[in-house]
Amino acid sequence: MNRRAFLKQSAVFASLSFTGFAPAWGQGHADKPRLLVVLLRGGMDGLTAVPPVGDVQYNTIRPQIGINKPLRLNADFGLHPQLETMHSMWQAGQLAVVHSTGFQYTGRSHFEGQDIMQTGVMKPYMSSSGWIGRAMEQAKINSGVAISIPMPLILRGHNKAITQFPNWMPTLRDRDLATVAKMWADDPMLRPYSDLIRDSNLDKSLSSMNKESFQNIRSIRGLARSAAISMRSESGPRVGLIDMTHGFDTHASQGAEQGSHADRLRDLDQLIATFRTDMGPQWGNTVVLTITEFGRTAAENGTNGTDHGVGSCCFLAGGLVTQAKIYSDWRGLNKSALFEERDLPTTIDVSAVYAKVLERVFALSSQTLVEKGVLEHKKSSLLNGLLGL
Amino acid sequence: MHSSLVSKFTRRVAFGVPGDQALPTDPVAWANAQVALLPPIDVLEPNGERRQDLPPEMRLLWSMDEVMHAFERHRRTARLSLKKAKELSTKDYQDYRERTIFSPYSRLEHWKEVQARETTALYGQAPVFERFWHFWSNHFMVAPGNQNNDTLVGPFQRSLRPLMLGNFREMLWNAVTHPGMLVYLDNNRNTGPNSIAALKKWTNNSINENLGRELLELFTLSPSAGYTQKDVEGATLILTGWREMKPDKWHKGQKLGTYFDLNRHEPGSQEVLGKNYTAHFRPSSKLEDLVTDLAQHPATAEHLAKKLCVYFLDDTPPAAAIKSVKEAFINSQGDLSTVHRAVILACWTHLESTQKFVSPETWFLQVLTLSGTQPPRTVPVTKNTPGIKTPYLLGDLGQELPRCPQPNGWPIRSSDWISKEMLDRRLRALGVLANMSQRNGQAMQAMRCIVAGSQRDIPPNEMAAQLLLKPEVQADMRLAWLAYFASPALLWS
Repeated sequence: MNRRAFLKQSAVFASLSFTGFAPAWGQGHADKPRLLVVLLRGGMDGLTAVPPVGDVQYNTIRPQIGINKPLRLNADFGLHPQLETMHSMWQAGQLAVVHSTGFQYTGRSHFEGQDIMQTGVMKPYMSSSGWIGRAMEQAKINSGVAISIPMPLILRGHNKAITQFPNWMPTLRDRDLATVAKMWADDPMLRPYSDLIRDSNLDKSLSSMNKESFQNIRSIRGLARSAAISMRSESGPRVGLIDMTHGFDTHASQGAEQGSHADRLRDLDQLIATFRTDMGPQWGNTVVLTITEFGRTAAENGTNGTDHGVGSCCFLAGGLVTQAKIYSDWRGLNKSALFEERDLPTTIDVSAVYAKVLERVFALSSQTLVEKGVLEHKKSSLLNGLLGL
Repeated sequence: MHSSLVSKFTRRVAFGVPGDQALPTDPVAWANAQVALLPPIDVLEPNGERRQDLPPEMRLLWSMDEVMHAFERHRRTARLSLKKAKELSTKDYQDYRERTIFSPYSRLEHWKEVQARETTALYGQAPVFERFWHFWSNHFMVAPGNQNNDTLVGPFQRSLRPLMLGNFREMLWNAVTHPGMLVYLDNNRNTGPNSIAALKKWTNNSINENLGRELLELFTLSPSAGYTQKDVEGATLILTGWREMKPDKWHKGQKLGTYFDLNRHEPGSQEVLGKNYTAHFRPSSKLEDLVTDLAQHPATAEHLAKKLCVYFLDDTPPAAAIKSVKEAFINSQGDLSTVHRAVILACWTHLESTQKFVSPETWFLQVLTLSGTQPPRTVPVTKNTPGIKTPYLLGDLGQELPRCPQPNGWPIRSSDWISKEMLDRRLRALGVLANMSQRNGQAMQAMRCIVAGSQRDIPPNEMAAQLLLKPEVQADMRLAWLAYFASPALLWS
């Protein structure tokens, strides 16, 4: 046994003997909640995704890129027309939105923001583990899967999570796999991986995807399927992650109903739609959470785009959402109400939203999250009722 | 000593020696000789000659004038394209950007640099030097993705090479004040709140702590030295006004590269680590003094010694190894050749008790070296050129050069490169490279290297050594590559 495995075993043993610890969620793993995290890198424009149509300032500050024909959410807010599936989820009570939310960080740097959104620590580069990784470790969740090649920072801090990503390179043959397994049997660092590699080279469920072209598998729908196929199985990972890299940084020509930001939102909609379909009945046990590093400037810039800002919106979708609702302390788009007279302010700490998600999915209380150093957050009564909590 | 240990050492400090060539008889002297000289870098042929058939746009940019002109052309093209944004449909706009910006700048610039970096590692004069260059260009990371800095990335990284024969203080000074770094970490926007430019409202730029923070955190002291936010702010103010000089209409006739803009510089004195930095005559001397002090700080020696040992020896290097490198650094006052020789000696001394799982790039270069296979040709390039391209293959392995996601560089710990997906990809890439060697008519040669190498590089008691003696394994090219390169002896160095 290597040192790490030994320490883990003793840790479990200790908690059993001292607390009579019982798993918080029923007997069957299948009933346990699932979490899919979608990283929207580049900074999603909350005012395009969920336009505040009831705000009189909106059309004034966004003459070229404002959304004029949104899908209706309520009297004050609409949904971008490319988010059709998510709109149907809203109607089914399976979509919640937190608006004018963000981190307690206002540096507007992609590097720093993407570090912070993953570590959950408001000073950049201070932590080598992610808030979901730490939460999984704290809740003793035994598996997670990132649809990615490297292990994303947000899942680090937990050694049971794995990565997978569509791969064009030919799979290994039986004799290759057998040779690797035999060669690695005596190496403590490599040994645990030969079975995992064997499974992914022989995976029957994924092989049904081999009929599709590589381009399709690597498309956003393909990645969503890949995540769902793993996560829907009874013993599958309870946490999944899909990384949408760099499409949201629309400094120029971001478009309105159509255009580059609209294309990214359509990708997000397709991702969530495909994931819902492929999760099947497990969708009822699932929440999808979107994360972005910052929002964009409230007013459009001189090049029909938006620059790095602060507040944005956050989506929660899935069967674990109990009510179609917008959670927000909306202060309006007047210059004086904006952060530094330019950005949508952070009126709700988005870490508090993540804390609610961790509470619902991993049964970790807000207090535990803070005391055990999993995720600092500023609680907000505006979030009461989110995910039924 | 078994030959597998000498082989391990050659992979530890370089990329290995192919099985059909002799291992060095005095490994430490062999390695030391390679850090005592400056090997030229370019796109090389397997015989070590510079490739002659390259079109002009595929040649590396060398002079600072060329580099800054290319940077300005790229910037102008990008700014012009923003104007087009209003005229063109989104689809046409994207096509236009692909043609005028992504192909010539974001792709071509990087691919020629990657081609030069990999062929110099494989066919250049001193692979040991290249390993140390890979370390320093990772320590002082400048990656594309900020302020159209694509054309600055390769020239910045190559500018570190001659400095590897000098003193750390000079390397630090050049890295911090190179236009590549000033742009990448936004110091060209870092403006003192009480500077003339701020008071007269010539700019709405203000303080930007990016470079100030990394100077203390990544390049020199590291957070374990216990500096505070106040020190970061002091360093940031000292850095105000240091900017890149580009050939624009406001600076006609000026020397291109770096300049100190007194109008943006915060006047007065600033404090870092309890010391006051005051400009009596020359405000730019504040940064010179700060860089000197940071380069000589014991925490810097400690940080660099530890990082070098983690990079070359082990995730948890022996304390004695760190101590020897740190002492070499302090006693030589930061002479980098001395430091490199200390690292080489530590690698040799602690060879048996340490092990390293290297980055995808280093592993890729090991596989090509040990199999005598040429890398996929990357030039001339377009996005649609068929066949495997080195930067994309490195991306498939998890390290798409030069697109490092964060200023702290690519991970240097073994544990960062071991995951199911990473390992699976290395195994599958072996099949891809084996097939490539066959298509290029190099399969027989590769097999000779592998069979000879297996008896020399793998301890006789390890399974792969016996496997590769079997005719049925030698007859199955993919299996033979896998048995050799995926053996624990070869995966660890």
